[in-house]
Amino acid sequence: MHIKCLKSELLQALQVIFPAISTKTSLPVLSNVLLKITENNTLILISTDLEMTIKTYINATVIKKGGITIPAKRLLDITKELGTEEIELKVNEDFKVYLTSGKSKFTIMGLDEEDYPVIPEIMENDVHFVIDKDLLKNMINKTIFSVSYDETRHVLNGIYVKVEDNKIIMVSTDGRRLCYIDNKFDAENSGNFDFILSTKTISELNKLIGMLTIDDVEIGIKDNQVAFKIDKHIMLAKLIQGIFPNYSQIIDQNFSMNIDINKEDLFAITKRVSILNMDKTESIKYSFWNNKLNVSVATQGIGEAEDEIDIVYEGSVFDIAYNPNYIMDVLRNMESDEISLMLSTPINPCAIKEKGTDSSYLCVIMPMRI
Amino acid sequence: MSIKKIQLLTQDVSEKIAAGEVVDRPYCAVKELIENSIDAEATRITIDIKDRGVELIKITDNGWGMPKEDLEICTLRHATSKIIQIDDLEKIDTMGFRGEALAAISRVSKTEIKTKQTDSDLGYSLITEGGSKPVIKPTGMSNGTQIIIKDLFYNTPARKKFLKSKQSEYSSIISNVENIALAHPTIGFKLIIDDKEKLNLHQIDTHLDRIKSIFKDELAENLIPLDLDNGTIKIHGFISSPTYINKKRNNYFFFVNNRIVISKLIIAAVNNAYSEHLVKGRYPIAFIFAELKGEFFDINVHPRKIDVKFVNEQAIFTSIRQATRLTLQNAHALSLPSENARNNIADIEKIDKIKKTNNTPQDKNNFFANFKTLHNIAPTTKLQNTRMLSTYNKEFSQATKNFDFSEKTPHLPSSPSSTQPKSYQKFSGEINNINIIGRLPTKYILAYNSKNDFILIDQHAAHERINYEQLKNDFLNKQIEIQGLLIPEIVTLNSGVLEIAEANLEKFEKFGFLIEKFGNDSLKITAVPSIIEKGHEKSSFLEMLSEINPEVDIIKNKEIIDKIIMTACKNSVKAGQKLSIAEMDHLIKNLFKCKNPYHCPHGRPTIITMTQTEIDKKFSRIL
Repeated sequence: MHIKCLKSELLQALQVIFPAISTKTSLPVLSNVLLKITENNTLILISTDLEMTIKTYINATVIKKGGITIPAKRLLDITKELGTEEIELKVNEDFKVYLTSGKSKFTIMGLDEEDYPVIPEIMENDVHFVIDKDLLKNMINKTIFSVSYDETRHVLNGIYVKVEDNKIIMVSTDGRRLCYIDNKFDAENSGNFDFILSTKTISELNKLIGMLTIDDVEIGIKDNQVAFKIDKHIMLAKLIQGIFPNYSQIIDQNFSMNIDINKEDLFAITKRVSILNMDKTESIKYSFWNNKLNVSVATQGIGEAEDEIDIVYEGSVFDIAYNPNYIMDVLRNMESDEISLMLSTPINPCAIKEKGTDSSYLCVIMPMRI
Repeated sequence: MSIKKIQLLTQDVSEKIAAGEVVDRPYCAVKELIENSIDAEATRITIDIKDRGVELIKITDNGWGMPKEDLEICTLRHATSKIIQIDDLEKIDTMGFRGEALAAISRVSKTEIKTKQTDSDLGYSLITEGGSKPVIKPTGMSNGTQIIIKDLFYNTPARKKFLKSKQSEYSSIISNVENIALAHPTIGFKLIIDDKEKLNLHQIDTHLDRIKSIFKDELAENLIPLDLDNGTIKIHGFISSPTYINKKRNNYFFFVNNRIVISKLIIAAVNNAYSEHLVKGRYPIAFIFAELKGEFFDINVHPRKIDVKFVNEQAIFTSIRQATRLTLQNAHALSLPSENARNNIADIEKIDKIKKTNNTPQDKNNFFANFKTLHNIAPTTKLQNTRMLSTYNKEFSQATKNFDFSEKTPHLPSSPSSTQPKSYQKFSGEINNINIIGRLPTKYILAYNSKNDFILIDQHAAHERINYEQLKNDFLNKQIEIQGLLIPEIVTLNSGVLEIAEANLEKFEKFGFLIEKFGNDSLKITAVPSIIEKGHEKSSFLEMLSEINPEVDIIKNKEIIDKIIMTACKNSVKAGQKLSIAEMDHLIKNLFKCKNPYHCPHGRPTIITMTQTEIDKKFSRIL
């Protein structure tokens, strides 16, 4: 292989593929980036940790076709420090890479491209759809905080995504609360399908989206793989296998009460009162009565706190306890000024919804026992 | 191929099979025969073994011996002098009782028995080969019985084939003899293997002496005595001090009525009591001798008589754990003052002399101070013991009364905590006299007490202990916070466990696990204590379920304990953090308010002391 390319393009490409480089691995080739000339004379860079793969393309002047793997961290560091824009890469038969740029000369030991793992391909004719970047980000942000990090229930370790009837749905739960959001969506006849994205995939996707100025993300699904095509970059990742719990019976419950509360007030009072909790697993008590919401806590060995806000509530006295963090987590992501708190009994779940918007966003929270 | 008909085994074959159950390896024969000697009240027993015991097992004792008529039938199956009717099985107080041993051994060997009773002039010898009709002849010999087993398993080649290596057969024999010897210090044992003397244990008075003669002196020096008597069970024994480094598991020697037994229950009780006192990877050593009335346990579980079943497991578990725990907690309080008291006697004698010759006011004060500490300590030690005993006697009777353990109140906050601080008050009075010298960078506080003992305190470990006890107390005193589960956890159990779980639903509810029956073989967990990490709901529940017999106690839940320890650790001053004198002073005072001030919750020591005498010795001022 013998090519010429631009420093700025190579640098960005290396930065894009770097998250899938394994720095500590027993398989040395995984610390390397694969460089290869495609049929149509562009340079492709690939990294993989066998769970996740990132590919990106850059323009290059091809003098001789071929491929090589090069230690990614070294190549990235060298590229960063080069003083001249033009870079020339030449590989000899012993997999030695000669890198020249202006007067700088580096010789790096590469590894045979044949040793590189086979990367799965997702084609245009597999399940395939395009989604607006901002919509994707918004839906992820509103559900990511309630995923479970417990590895014994791996189906909960990610966001469940479902496309059906021109709707895209995302759901996440950690067994104590559940977030649901859907949006109108035209999947262009790709039919109904669902999959679970792991938190790791989502966080890498977020980083990639943040790094680039783009409008749309193309998503492809095949077997247990998902591919995100963003501009000229492709990220491939494994999906979480398994059956996500039936969330519809959780979100479709009957709530006998519906109380509207100012979002900022509820957040502030929750945050204030929970200062006296000793541990983030402890509860605070919410009492509804006589057009007031009274929030209180009493912690052994620390003290007591109590606060009150005005609401519209004329029913009988109703006491319920929540983990304050669960309440605050969802309020942070609500966009309306007022929220609706839907309740039934002190031991049944409650739901929080945005008020005055047509958003489907909903968070169901299991109370704590008083 | 012809079809084989089912036939009744001939007597010979069935007896050989039965023999194999009792005696499958030479050490079993050795054990059975020694037990016979003990039942015959022998005071000296000599065991001679050749070639793994196959060539020869010879046991000679100086016991009662047998009359001729007994000798005639002793090789018959179920011939025993020890029980006559089935009710006697309920109150076995002899070592052997099944009447199987001699019969079994004589079926599979060439046996010669010589015996002479003290009051008869003549002895008799019996010879039988593989269970053939015994030939009895008069013989001259000294008092007692000698049994000579030759060619063991000569007629059961399969058994012989499966014998292990010399080394392994010998180590089984040695450890069996040692175990029996531990229980019977007043009997002398001599073990000769292939003409070499392996053990020679003289008659002595106490178990401790026997332990000393079998194990290293170093171990004996590190044993703490343990005693309990509450009418039903009488325990005495020795457990290793938490500072003794033992990296081997399974160093437990349990004896019920002088018979070595294997009991997971007792192991669990001892381990449970040690849990806070030992660093990971170190194990306790325990010698526990229990005396229990025959009706409270069953040793007839297996022909080997090493498995034991207790009638009231809960009470046994609680007694042994409690006895071990209190012994450990008091180990420092008891041993330190007594040692100091001894030193003080010498001091007083010395000072007394000085006083006579040179009666200055300063000396008088000094003398008075010393005298006071001495008198403070001695009675306390005694008082503590009685109080300790009454504490667990009370608890034991409560436990026995409430056979059904669901009735039992969680015991931690009750008795020990109410008595414990008291027993330490005297000692902490001592501790109040601690003078801080300063810090040894960067982790330790240096101090000395009124007797000029040098004291080193690990600041992080000490603070960790204080925080841990505080948090644990807080947790016990407050209501358990319960978090509902949006998606209930389903636990499928086998029917036995399911039954236990179902019988204890209320108990689980008290500890924050709300559980419902779900289908035929499952339970649904709908809420858990909120302190339990997400995802650990099921494992925590199962852990508690496995602990439920003999008792359920939320504070025993490893998950919760670990969490409390972690919080305690996080909130503690770090090693390397600078502390002012006032902070160090406060730390030490609070440390001695703890139930177990001597170890951090991970089991590391918090305090190291070096007495004046030890220091003097190091400088060769005294030898």
